Amino acid sequence: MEPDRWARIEELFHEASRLELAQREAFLRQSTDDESLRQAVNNLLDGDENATDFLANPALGFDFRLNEPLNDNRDETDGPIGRRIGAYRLVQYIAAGGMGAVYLAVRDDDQYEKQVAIKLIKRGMDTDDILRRFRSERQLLATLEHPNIARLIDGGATDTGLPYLVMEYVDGQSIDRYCDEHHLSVDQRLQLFDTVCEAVKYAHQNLIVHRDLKPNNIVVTSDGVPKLLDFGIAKVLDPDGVAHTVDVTMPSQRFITPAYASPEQIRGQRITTTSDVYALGVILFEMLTGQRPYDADSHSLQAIERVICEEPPTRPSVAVTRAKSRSITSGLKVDNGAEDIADKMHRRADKHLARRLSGDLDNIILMALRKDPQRRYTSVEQLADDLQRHREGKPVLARPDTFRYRSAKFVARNKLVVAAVTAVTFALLGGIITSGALYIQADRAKLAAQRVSGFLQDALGSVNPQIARGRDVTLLREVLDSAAKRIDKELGDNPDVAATLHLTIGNTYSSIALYDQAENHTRAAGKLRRKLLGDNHPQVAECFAQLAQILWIKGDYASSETAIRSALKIWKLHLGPRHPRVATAYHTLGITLESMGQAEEAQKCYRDALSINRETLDPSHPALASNLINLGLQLLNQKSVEGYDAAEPLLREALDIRRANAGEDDPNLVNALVAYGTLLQERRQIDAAEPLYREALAISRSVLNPDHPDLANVLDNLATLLENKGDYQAAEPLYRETLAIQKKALGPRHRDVGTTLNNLAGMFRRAGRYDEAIPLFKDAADIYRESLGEGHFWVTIVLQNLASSYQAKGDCDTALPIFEDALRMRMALVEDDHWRIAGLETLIGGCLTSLGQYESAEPLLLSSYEQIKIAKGTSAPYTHNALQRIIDFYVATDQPDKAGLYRQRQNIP
Amino acid sequence: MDSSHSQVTHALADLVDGRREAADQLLALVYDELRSLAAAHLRDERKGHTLQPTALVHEAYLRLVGQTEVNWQSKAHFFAVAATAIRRVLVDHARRTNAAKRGGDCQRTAIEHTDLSTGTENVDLTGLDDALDLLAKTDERKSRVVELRYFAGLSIPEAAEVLGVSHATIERDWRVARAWLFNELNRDDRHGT
Repeated sequence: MEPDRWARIEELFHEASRLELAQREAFLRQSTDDESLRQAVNNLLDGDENATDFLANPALGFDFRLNEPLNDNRDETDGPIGRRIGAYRLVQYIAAGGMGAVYLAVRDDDQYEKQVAIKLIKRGMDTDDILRRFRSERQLLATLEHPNIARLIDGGATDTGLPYLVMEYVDGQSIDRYCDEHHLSVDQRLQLFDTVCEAVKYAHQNLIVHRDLKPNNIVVTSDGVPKLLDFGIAKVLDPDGVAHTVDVTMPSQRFITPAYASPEQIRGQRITTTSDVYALGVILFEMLTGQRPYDADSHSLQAIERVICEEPPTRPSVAVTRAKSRSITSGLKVDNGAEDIADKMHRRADKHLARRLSGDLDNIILMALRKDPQRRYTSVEQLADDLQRHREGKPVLARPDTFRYRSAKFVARNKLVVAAVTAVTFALLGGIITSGALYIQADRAKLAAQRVSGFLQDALGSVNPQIARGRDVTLLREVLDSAAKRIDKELGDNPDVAATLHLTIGNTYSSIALYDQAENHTRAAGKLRRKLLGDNHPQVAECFAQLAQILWIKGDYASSETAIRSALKIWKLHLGPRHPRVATAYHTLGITLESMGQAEEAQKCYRDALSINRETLDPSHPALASNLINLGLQLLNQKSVEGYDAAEPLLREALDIRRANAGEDDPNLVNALVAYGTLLQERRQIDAAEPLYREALAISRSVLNPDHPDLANVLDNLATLLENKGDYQAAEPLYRETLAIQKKALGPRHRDVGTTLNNLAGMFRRAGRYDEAIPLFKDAADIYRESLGEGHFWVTIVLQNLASSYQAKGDCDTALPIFEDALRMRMALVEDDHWRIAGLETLIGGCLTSLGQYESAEPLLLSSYEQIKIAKGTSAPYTHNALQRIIDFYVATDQPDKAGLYRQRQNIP
Repeated sequence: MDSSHSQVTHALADLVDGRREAADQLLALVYDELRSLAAAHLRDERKGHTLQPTALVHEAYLRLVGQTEVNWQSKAHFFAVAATAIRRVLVDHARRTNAAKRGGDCQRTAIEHTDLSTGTENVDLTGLDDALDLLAKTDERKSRVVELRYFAGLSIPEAAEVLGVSHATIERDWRVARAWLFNELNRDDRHGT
């Protein structure tokens, strides 16, 4: 085309497009006699009209306009009947929902007329995301083959870019209407509900959570067969389940029906299979009472959400007697002005029904409806089994909800989750490995592996690993062992699937405290991924991070450091330096460095982690509390007034965050309580510290195994506090209990056993019971040497304590070489002018004084005192003691003037 | 990282000096980086926090080139090149996929498996590519505007900055180009849609 002609077309196009449609033709005729030119302009105007969505989303597909106001008023649900979508033609409108409308459609390209339902997603939803998720979900959804689940057939985007889903068409009634119109009895309803549970159970076994169960999604055919619709669709359309909470200004965006949404869905928390259990509870409630558990109709959306999250549901047996609008026994709608007789009959029937519901059925439904997902039935199967027991007249598991959540149940529940996970793992790992190797395509195996991995992490995430530790995990272990053996043999052609499985299995082993296996599998995953993706891939970093945590638990700090530094490097490279993932790596690195005695480096890492997380996370985020606690404890360990002052606000904030997030008896609270209690204790505010420790101990005793190492930590802290109070009698049995637990749980030579021995010995020394203290200190020193290494800082501390005991006993000949050993080791660890060096020197000075070696003693005592004073301040106990030794020296050497001079300093605050 | 950093800097310098062949080299470097950034963002950012491709381009730019000692001209080149890179990779991918479909069995795949992009399903990329070439013969700037807007995800002001023209010009170009391309892709004598 000649440029001039093109420029003219453009010019006329722009001018014409500003005019009303009707005026354009006249304008063009006026402007030019060239008909082909007019035709070209008209074509362009048509193209402009039709190209509304064309190229509107960038090719890389990050559609952001979801967040912009919708100024597109065209309604796509209007009048698409007859339109062709994919291979189908829309023939009839069925229903409208929050995300679009559903149409009956038939295949258009074929002789046979197969009916399907097509869900057409309306404009304004995040099209690209939906399609992406659909692609990732569809293969799994396609595997759902169950007589009571409507199949997902196809999906895609229309030529104007609207996503659509093609599903099996089910002709029938929603389950609640079906029950009422067919006057089903309670037993018949329970029978029908049982079939629904079977279908949901089947889907859960295939790792698909429905997320939006409601009567309208359960259609019963005229043959009485229930079919579940839209399985897994909620995840495709709205993976975070957030659409229902952000719709205050955009009611049309409502997606999940709040009446059936669980509290965790309302809050936008993790959705699991127990969310479906909740929805089934609401459905059963409605099927049996004709009511919903909450009076939700009259409230605003926010009010409904608050009620669901906070208020206890009505008991079904009570709800049924309040029923006004509908009576289940008749299945008829009863108007307010209905006849008296009918009314009375209904009331009598309702009373009968109330008696039928009270007891078991009340308890079963209310158990499914509990706010805390952890306290519901752990699976649909459990719910179904309990209903089965009820129908057979056997005792049911469900009990009325007690006010206080008993720890026994908490532990029992974790046991159940472990059992459930075991079963699912068995089915899935076995399935994937076999079929992955032999039958199905790599893509599908990979997807399935990712699913398993996600599922296991979710499921195990709900088990407190600390609590799972020591529980009955034999079966899970066997399943993991057998799966692990088969990975390499049978998934050789699928190294990426094998890697994902290795990583998951490693993580699972770690959750049940089998760290050698955990390490091996994590390493195997890392090796495969490095070969596959190169050394610097984020997926490799994931392996490194997991490995670092396992190695840290195993006590291999040097290797742990290497691993976490590798992860850190990769994440920084890929995510930038201020990403929460980077913060996590810094945090882990800090812990590792601290364990290696590199306190200052560790502190720097904690500060980095904290600063990134403060920038990027919500101020009440649990990760912040972890950063704060670790940094705070690190500052505490400096044992200086400044350290305490710096730690105080951090630890208080951590405790506030944990308290705000904690449930009753929440184990997460323990660390925050102990950390803040420790601060108070260090500041000699023992009376304030004690209740915090006691609260921590009460929680630990109620939720942990009696031989759990974390319980030991809390006991040790409380014992130390009682010791500081001077209540040695009360402290000793707590120390002994601590020791017993640690020896059993961690092994007799674990470093924590050394710590407790040191603490108990310290108390004996304080109490003047040196002969009891000395063997314990010796034992502690040996354990530290074995577990931490010969020259570790903590070894020098125990040696110092041991030597001090000999000194206090009056045996300076034995004490001196031990002190000197400790000093030599410590000088290799810290700078010469570090107060920890001076701390030993003043002790040695004291020893030398006692041994009469005055010439060496005096300069040592004086210089170390000055150093300690600078480092710790004049009022610190360390400074005080160093000063006292100088005075003792001048008294011993008969120099009262100098002694007097230093005595005066004692009075300076 | 360092080596690709300097490669990019060199290629940019070459481009500024008028050596067009540097563009090809730059394409490969930039595209890999864009893809890995995109992948990282997709994995880690929560919904609603996902970066736009524009932001990706910015970030890739900063990470590859650094903020210092690069003049505006080379930055504009960067975006222009990134846009072309994305276009080429997506179109090549589409061509390969189409070829595979034609060569494969007749079974209908409802949704094609693609590890790239998410916004291109309803756009015939190979057709768009041809049409853009055709458009460029008459009006190269409009073709560039489409590249910048559609493939690099640049906003109108950003595209205006890269091409050194006014916002209004970009708006007008964009509108005409879209209308024209839409017609071109929906012509009756074309095969397929």
